[in-house]
Formats: sequence, structure tokens, C-alpha cells
Amino acid sequence: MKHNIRNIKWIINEWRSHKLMLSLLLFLTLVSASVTVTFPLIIKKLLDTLQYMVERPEIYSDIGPELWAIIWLFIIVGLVKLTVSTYPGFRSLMNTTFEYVLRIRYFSEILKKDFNFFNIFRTGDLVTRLTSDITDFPKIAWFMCSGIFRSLESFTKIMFCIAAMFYLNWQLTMLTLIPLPIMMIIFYITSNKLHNSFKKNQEAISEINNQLEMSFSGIKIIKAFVCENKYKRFFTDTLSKRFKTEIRLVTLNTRIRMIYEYIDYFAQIAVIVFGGIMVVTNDITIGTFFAFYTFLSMIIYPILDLPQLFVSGKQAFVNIDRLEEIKNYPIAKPVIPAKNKLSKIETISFEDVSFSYSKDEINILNNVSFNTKKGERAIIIGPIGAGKSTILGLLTGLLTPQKGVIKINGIPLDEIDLVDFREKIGYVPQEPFLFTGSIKDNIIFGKDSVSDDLYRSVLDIVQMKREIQLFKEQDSTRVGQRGVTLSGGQKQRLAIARALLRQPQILFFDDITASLDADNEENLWNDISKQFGEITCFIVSHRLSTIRYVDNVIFLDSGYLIAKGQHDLIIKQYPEYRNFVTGSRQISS
Amino acid sequence: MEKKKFINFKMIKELTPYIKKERWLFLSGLTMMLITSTLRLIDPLIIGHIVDKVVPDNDIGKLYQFAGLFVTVIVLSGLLTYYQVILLSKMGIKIVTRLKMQMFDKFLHLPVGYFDHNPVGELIARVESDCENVRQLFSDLSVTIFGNLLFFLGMLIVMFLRHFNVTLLLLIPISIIIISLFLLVSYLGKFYRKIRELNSQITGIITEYIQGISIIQLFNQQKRVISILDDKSKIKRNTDARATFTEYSFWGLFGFLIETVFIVILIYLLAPQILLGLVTLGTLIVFIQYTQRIFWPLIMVSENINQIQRAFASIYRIFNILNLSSEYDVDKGNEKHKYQPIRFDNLIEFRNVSFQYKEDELILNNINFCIKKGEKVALVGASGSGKTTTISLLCRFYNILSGGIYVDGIHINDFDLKEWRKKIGLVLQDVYLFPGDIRENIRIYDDTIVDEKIFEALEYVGASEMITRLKNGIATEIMERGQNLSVGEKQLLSFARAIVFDPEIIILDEATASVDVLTEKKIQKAMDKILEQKTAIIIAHRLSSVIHSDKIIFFHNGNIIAAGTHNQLLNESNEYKKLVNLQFLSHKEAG
Repeated sequence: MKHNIRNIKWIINEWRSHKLMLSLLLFLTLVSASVTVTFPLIIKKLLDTLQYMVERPEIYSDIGPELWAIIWLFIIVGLVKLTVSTYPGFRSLMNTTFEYVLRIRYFSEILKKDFNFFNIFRTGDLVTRLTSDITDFPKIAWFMCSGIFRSLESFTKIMFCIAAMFYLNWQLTMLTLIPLPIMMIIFYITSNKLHNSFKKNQEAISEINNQLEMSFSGIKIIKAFVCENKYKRFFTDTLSKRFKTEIRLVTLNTRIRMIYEYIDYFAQIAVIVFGGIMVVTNDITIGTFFAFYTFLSMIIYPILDLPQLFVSGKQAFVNIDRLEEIKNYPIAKPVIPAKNKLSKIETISFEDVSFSYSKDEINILNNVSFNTKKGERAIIIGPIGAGKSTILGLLTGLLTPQKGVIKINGIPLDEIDLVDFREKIGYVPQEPFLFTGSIKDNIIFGKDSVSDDLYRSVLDIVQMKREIQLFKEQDSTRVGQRGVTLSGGQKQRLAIARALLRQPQILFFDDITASLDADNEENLWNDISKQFGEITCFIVSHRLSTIRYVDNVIFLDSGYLIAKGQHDLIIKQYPEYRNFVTGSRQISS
Repeated sequence: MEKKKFINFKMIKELTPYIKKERWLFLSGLTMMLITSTLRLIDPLIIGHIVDKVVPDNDIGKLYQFAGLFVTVIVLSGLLTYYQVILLSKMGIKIVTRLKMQMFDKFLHLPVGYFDHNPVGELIARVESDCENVRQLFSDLSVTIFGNLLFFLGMLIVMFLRHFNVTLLLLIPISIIIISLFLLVSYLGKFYRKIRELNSQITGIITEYIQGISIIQLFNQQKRVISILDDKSKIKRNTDARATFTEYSFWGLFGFLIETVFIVILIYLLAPQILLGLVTLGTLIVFIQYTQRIFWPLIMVSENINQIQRAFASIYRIFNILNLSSEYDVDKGNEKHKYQPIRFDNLIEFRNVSFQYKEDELILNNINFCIKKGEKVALVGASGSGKTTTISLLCRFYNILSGGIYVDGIHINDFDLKEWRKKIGLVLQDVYLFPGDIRENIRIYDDTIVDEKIFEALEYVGASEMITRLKNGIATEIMERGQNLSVGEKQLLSFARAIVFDPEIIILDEATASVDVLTEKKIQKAMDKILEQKTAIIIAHRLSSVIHSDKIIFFHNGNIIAAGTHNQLLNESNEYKKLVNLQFLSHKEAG
């Protein structure tokens, strides 16, 4: 209950910024409902007038002023209704406005989150929360306007109709409304079953999808082991399960639709029997009889529709919670602006740094300490799982240490303006992630304006110039979704270009050399030395040959820093390092 | 692509055998539809009769008769509608289940090349969405369309019978409305397609940004990505608003026409005649009721036009796939069943083998090498140099462009495809696990492989210890993508799978997956063991694991540039030396 109130408050809060629009909607809803109720009343008037005139043929032989008045009444009410008829359009405009506002707001929240958040929330899940959770019928955006106002419309319609019926004849109203609750109960009982059956069918569908995916991805194995025909067996089983759930779903669905469609017929039986008797006994007129008949068919659907408010509300509340969960997930280290800004990065040091992704997990890094100076190139090396990439994550502020401090120019990283600091670094991730757009868009991703010279020289350094010439649209060639497919090496080099274009003071390469061959790598380092002489580099690598191009080696094993220093020195001092290096190469001798 | 022209008789002809098989369901469903469409016409007539007959005569008995008739009609048409929907849906589900089974069967037997060109998601959509679209034809769609058209015609007939002239006059506005209705539907269709497109673009953008979140944060580009998303969302909102306002304005006008204009016309035409006693009040009531109902069936039909188009486009795609020839068909057609018996005692030879996936892009260029029985041969080279293609050709996943692969002098295409593949045990780089338990994953649903043999294989590759740790042993269900197993464990299972069928030749695409040192040793041990008695071809990503091979074949850009033992190659080939250098530090630098 408390939880519902919180969500209702949330919605009211959202409504506050759209007061004018919502009042307009309220007004239009009331007008539309009352106009709708007027029609059966005018028809009643028409029938009664005609009946009266038919019984007096000597006076009335043609359309007189009485009928003209009714015709004008029809036209006036019709025009009023026509004027307000676009109001569902306003409703849906509000829906899409809410959709838009919420999506942008919560997307901005996501952008502020750190690794803890992305460890817990998967991409697919977040995308669902920002798209179908908001957009789909009958979820948040729909519920916030259409859901609520439609129910309001249904409610006013029902009330107006019942009021009109009571006004016409209260006894007949009582008699005709009696069967409705019974039918409604049957309807809701069946609807509840539907939900269950629907869920089962969904499960059967996703099982089939899973199996299809597995089979098609593993087609080579299936073929190589010549088991196509035997393999079919499991699919047949799943299909027959699906067959059953589908049939059950269709049966239930049809039953509900039948009740839905026939429920007003049953209410009309009461009108025909009781109303018919009353007409015969002259208790009501033919017009009233017909008006009751029409009113009943008018209120049936709104009555069935009304509880939908609670069903869709439940759904929307769940989705609102899912959005709020995003917003409320704590950030380990909130960004506080107006801290120290550095102009030049002189020294970087790790002091006794330990890190783990969560309290329950073992440490990825244990008491790691080292110093580097401006212009130094360091390779971070060690077996898989040694914590190499974690060091880069910590240095860039994507991760925060549990223990120890990272200092830049002697100032702890916490006390440095992170946005400003990040302006001074270039980072190339392990998986070269490119965004949908042109090649150029991707390279200049980190900059608002770029000089042509710089752009071209960066392309030169990553040795992409010639390859780009080969594309039909050169650097306007689209990559990413529906774009050309680049090789892993090409993507990697674009990612390097993207980082270099920022003219950073520190470069972080997370295991990038795997996609460069020996010649290319040599050229890359030579060019970087030439054009970015002062740059500090941290390179995570698996390829020992990269050691040739660096000043120092940081050797890690299972989260411990084993050695730091020049290759030639530490290979003599540290047997662990010697084993690691020679162990990999013993066979070549 | 998805145009109306796809609705043609050829496709209906293709579907006919499926419908024929369910003809009783089909015919009874159709009959019921005819009856129910007629019954739906009756209730306004009953009201009219009550007004015309019961009221003037004050005849309560007659009233009960009409009420009884009304109840009968409702109950009868309710029951019939119910069974009609159920029967037709059942037919639809039956047909679709058969279609799905056939498509799955077809896919399993298509050549591997087909799967290279068609992403898995597409193929799933072919089986799942396309078949479901077809199903619509047999359930909701056919009921709505045929039923509603019949209902519409029925109403027109009754109106003509009741009052010919008035109905004839009404036909003019009715046809205008029908035409504008269909124009509106196609106009809005464009909008809704655009909205769907925008929606998927927005989903794409958000997905990408969340995946690349660390790049965005490290490059301080939060504002830029928000503004891109903002632009797209705004376009979507505006398109959406335009579409809905157009639609609701039309419905408003539409409502005005039937609720106001039609009634005014009816009063104007009928009132004088009623006053003259030529027409009854009941007729007016029937006309009012009918004119208010007459368009709903058409609206229902118009809303479903897109669905019909979609269904026929799906049928087109489905039968295109079903009419493809499977790789065994191709095989049999070429060889006219004259298979050579497979004997492998001496040699597998690649003679002048060339191959291309795409026109003019040779992946293998005149490859020559041989493998003696019992030899272990390693294929090395950069990715894209042709190693994987070579083993794919040996498995006959693709057809060789020129040259041939010979086993003891006989071309592998002269063997029965299935028999040939049974000689090969394939282990791929990405361990592939199927839905199901460990047992089925090892024997791949082949009942003839008994549990003992599975245990034997597991023991052989050193995986029995891992199985005993599992509570359900080999009946343990493997989670999606094998999440409940480690990389190493998965690798061991794939070895067990390869040897349980006792192949003569083992093909191993060596895993470079990140495994810890201990597992790596275990895998290496298992690998050495399963290769012991066999002829083996290993695609090596790390030289360290294959330097002891009988032969190393060095691929470069689709050519073999060197072949021999490790030491031979070190002496003879500069390129090989370079490769060794790339993977290890040179002797001098290692100090």
C-alpha cells in the first residue's frame, strides 16, 4: 500500500510540469462523455415524437417544426462531439511526451553510474527499462496519461448513463443492471486464468527460440557428427509442448472474447423482457425502451475496461520501480565538481592499493605500489587474471580502490576533478568499441573541434590512411549498425586514433597490440615517439615483443606486484619474471 | 519488398496440401462462420418487430416469443462462434507446427555456406515469426475478414429488402467512407512503419551507449550522447503525434458521419413515409442500428490488411526456404548414388585445392599437402590465412572450387557425405554446447551410444572427476551457453564428444580461450591423449603447443609458404622465424 502511494506520488510529481495540458484533457474527457450520453436521449425523443405524430395522422403529414428541431439537435450535438473528438490525440501526445522526458532523464542517470552498477545491471536489461518498459502498452508512459484518463472517461460514461437511465425509469434500471455483476465475475475469473496460460505459452516460445538459436549456431557440430535426424527429436518434443500450450491459450482467449462480446446481449435480454412488458403496459414509451437498449450496450465495455486501470497500474508501478532502481543505485564515489585541476601531469603513483569488485570476492590487486614519471612508458605484464587491466581501470578512475591511494602529482585521485583529469588522458580498450556513425565521427568522438592536420597525422600514425582510401566513401564510411564490417585490427587502430586525437598526456592501451603485426607495431611506436614525445604510456600486453618499445616493466602475478623496472635488470633479479618470460619462449631455443 | 503482389495463386497452391490435410477442420469452421454471420444480423430485427408487432397489439405472449427467439439466437451464435474460432485456430496451429518442423528439418540439412550468409537471428525469425504470421491467416484473420465481410453484405441485403430506395441512396456515402477508410489505412501505415523504425533506432542507440559507457565516461562525452538521443526521441514523439492526430481526427469525422449525418438523412427520408404509414417505426430502428454497425466490420478488415500482406510475404519466404535443396540432395544428385567405399590406410592428399567464399576473392590458392595415416599435422598462420577454410573443406562443409582432396587416391566427393563425416571427429575453438544434459551433449542425441561408452570417453579425457563432482552426473542439465561449467570443463566435454564416436581423423581447432595454467595443462594432457592413436589435424594459435608435430604447415594469405618440422622451418623459412619472434622474445633479448 505504502509502495503504491509512493508510485502515485511519483506520477503526480511528473504531472506537475504539465498542468495546463492535463486540465485541458480533463475538460475534453468530461465534454466527450456527456455528449456521448446525449445521443440515445435524442433518439428517444425522435422515436417518441414520431410515435406521437403517427397516432395523429390528421394533424401531422410531413416533417414539421418538431422534427426539424430534433434534426438540428442532432447536428449541434454532433458538431460538439466532432470538435472534441481529437482529444485521444492529446492523450497520446502526453504519452509520448512522458516517454521522451523519462527516457532522457533516466538515460542521463545511467551515464553517471560506475562499474558497480554495470556489474549488476546487464545492458539488455537496462535497454528494456528505457525502451519497452516505458513505451509499450500498457506500461509507464501509456498508464501515466491514457491509462488514467481512459478510466476516467469510462467512469464518467458509466455514471452519466446510469444517471440518465435512473432519470428515465428507475425500476427498469434496477432490473437491467442486475445481471451485470454476475457476468463481470465470470469474466474476471477467466481473465485471471489467461495470465497463467499466457505465461506458460511464453515459456514455450522462448524455449523454442533458445533451441533454434543453439541449433543454428552449432550447425557445424551437428553436421560434422552427422546427427541431423537424431537431433530433430528434441525440437519435436518442444514443438508438441508448445502445441498444447497454444491450444490451451486459444481456448481460454476465445472464451474470454465470447464473454466480452456476448455480455451485453445478456443485459439486453432484461431490457427486451422487462422493458417490453413495460412498453406493452404503457409504463414506458418506445423511445425509452430503445434508449435503455442503447445505454446498456454503451456501458458494458467501459465497465469491463475500468478494472484494467488496476491491472495496468500494477504493471506500470513495477516498471516505475525499475526506473527508480536505476536512479537510486548508489555510486561508489560521487563526482564532486570544483576540485583540483591539474595542468601538467608529472607523476603517477600507486600507494598500497588493493581492489576487489565486491566485498565477498577475493582481491584482484593486493597492496600494489609503484611510481611513474612523466614521459615514461610502462608495460604491465603477467599471466591472465593477474590484475593488469584493473590497474588501468583504477588509473582512469573507472574503478576505485578499497584500500590505498592513487596519486597524481602527489594529489590523491579522489581530490582531483575527474572530468578535467579525463580530458588529459587517451584510452584504448581491449575490445575496440566503435559507435554507429562514420569513421570520422568515431575518430573525432572525443573532441568538439579538430584541425585537419591533426586528424590526418593521427590517421597516419595508426596506419589507416591507405585502408580508408580503399573504402568507397572514405572516412564518411559508416561503421557499426548497418555499416561496413571492419576487421578487429582496423577497429583497434581506429580506437587508437580516437585516443590520440585528444592529444593526451597519458595513453592507456589495454592489450591492443594483438591486432597489430610486428611491422605495424614498430611503426606505431616510432610515430608516437616522434609526434607525442612527452607522452606517458601504460600498456597492458600479452605480447612479450612489446617490451622492446618500453622503458619499464610492471610485472604482476595473481594480484601482486612482483617486479617493476627495466627488463634487463629485473630479468636478472626476479626468477618469477625470468620464468614467466623464458617459460613462454623456452621452445624457441 | 513486401508488396501485395506476393498474394498470388502460386503461394495459395503451395499452402493447399497443408489445408487439405485439415480439410474437416477447415470446412466445419467455414460453415459455422456462415451461420454466425447470419445470426449476428438478427437482434436489431427482433427489436424492430417488438416495436412494430408487440407494442401496437399489446401482446405479451408474442413478447415472450421474441425474447425466447432472441435468447436462442444469442446462445446458438455464441456457441457456434466459439467452436468456429477454436476449430480454425486448431487448424492454424497444426499447420504451423508442421511448417516449423519442416523448416527446422530443412535448415539442419542446408549446406554450411547458407549459415555464413544468414545471421542466426534471421533464421530464428524465419522459423518463428514467419510461421506465426501464417498462422494468423487461419485464426483471427480469416475469422475477422471473412466473417466481417459476410456480416457487412448481410446487413446490406436486409436493408435492401426493408427499403430499397433509401438503401440505394445510402450506398453513396457508404462507398465514399469505404474508400477514404482504405486510403487512411495505407497513409497511416507509412507513419507506423516509420515509428517502428525510429523505435528500433532508439533501442539501438541506447544499447550501444550502454555498451560503450566507459568510453563515453573516459572521453567526457555524456552531453553529446544525451543530445543525440534527445534528437531521435523528439523526432519519434513528433511523428507519433502527427500520426495519432491524423488518425483521431479521421475517427472523429467518421463518428460524426454515422452518428449524425446518417441519422439526419434517415429522418429526412423516412419520417414523411412513417407519417404516411408507408414505413413502420421498427424499420427506422433497424436502419439506425444497422447504419451504426455497418462500418465496424470494414474497420476490422482494414486494420488487418497489413497483417494479410505480412502473412503472404511470410509464406513467400517460407516456401523459398522449403524449396531450397539440402546438401544431401545435392550430393546424391551429383553422384547418382555410386559411392566409393571409404578406406583410409595411407594418405590424405590436398591436390591443387582452391576455394573462394565470394567471387574473385580466393581464400585458398592452389594448396598442396598430404597427411599420412597416424600423423599429427599442425596448421599455423595469421587469422584469415586459410587454416579454418582448409579443415572446412576436408569436412565437406563447402564445395571445392578447383582441385581436390583425395583419400587413398579417391576424391572425397565420391564418398557418401554422411559416411565420410562419421570418420571425422571435430573439435571447434568455441566449445559448442547444446540445450540438454551432459549425456546428450556428448552423444548428440544418438541413442546407440550407451552410457558406458560415455563414461569411458570422459575417463579417457580426464573429465570423470569433474562428473563425479556433479550431483546428477551425466544427467546434469547444461545451462544456456554452458554457464554452469568452466571453460576448461567445456573443452574437456568437447573432447569426449569427439572421441565417443571413435573417428579415424581428429580435427582440432585449438582453443585460445583464457584458461588458467592448471586447466591448460589438463587440456593439453587430454589433447595429447586423444591424438595418440589418431590421424590429427590441429589448427594452432600458439606455436608452443604444436612444435612437436610431425609436420607444421604454414599458411599465409591462402598459400602454403612452408611445410616441415619445427626445426626444418626455423632453418628454412624467414616468415616462420618472424612468426616465432612475434610470439616469443628473441633469444638475445630474453637474456
